[in-house]
Amino acid sequence: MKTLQRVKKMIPPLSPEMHKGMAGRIGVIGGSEEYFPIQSYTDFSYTGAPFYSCMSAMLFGADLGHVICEPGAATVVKS
Amino acid sequence: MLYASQVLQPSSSHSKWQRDYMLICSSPDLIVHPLMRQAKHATKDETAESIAAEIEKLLERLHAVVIGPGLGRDSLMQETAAKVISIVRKRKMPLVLDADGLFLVQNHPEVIKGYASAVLTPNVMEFKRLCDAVKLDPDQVQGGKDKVCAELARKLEGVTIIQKGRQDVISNGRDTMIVDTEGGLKRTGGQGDVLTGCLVTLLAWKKLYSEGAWKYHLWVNVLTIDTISP
Repeated sequence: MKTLQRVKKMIPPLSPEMHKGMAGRIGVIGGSEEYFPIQSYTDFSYTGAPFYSCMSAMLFGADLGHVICEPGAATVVKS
Repeated sequence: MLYASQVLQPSSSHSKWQRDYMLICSSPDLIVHPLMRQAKHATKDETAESIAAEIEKLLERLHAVVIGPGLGRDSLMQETAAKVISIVRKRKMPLVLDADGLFLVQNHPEVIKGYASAVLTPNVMEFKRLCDAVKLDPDQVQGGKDKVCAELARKLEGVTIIQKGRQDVISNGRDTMIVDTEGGLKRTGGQGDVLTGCLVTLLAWKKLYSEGAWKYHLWVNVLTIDTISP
């Protein structure tokens, strides 16, 4: 419970003094071009995974989210 | 950089009501930097060093990073990630490693060893492989799985481990917590990514709070925050 109290204190306030980016700028590094090697399905990577990560960061309250990925994944992440 | 929403937002926020409404309802937009390269797409000048140098410029403007979601096991991507981790360590930024970022740690545990601002979020399989990587036999550790998690965190010299499972175990080797809240039973792709997103935001807030980025007592409405939680 003490941990939760401390976490609460860290949540940035909504204040007119704050400007964009002051409540967290997040980077997600990942996102390769989609590939499905037929021999092993455990090996494929999620192209959209950085999208989920970055989007949940922004919905959680971060101000800006940057995804750093492969050009092949960029179109998937963007749309 | 691609900002798609910037075109839409000014035109559709004529009235105050609409603006407030958009604050709540619009989905935020993220910025995409296609800087990473897979080995098969890289030109001769694009080495792990040159790509990491490009990313370093971007890291200067960020508070916290996630490395791993959809990173893949491509040699150049993994090598670049290792280089970026060393930059992140140098800049003392909070870091979350997940998915294929953990694959990197399995192969080279030294990249993350001793970095207290790092959080690893392994699932059951990834946890097993991490134990193998640091030559830790879970069966030989006395006590429950929280002890195993703490031991792994100690082996990685103070890295925080969030072991996902029926009960999540969080440990940095010194303090251990068990989350035994009942969760959903459906396991879909992307759930782990949502966790990393929330985690990294909290880590960024922690960093900003400890730097004194905002005067908490000035603006916060403590009452509203307290009513959110039970």
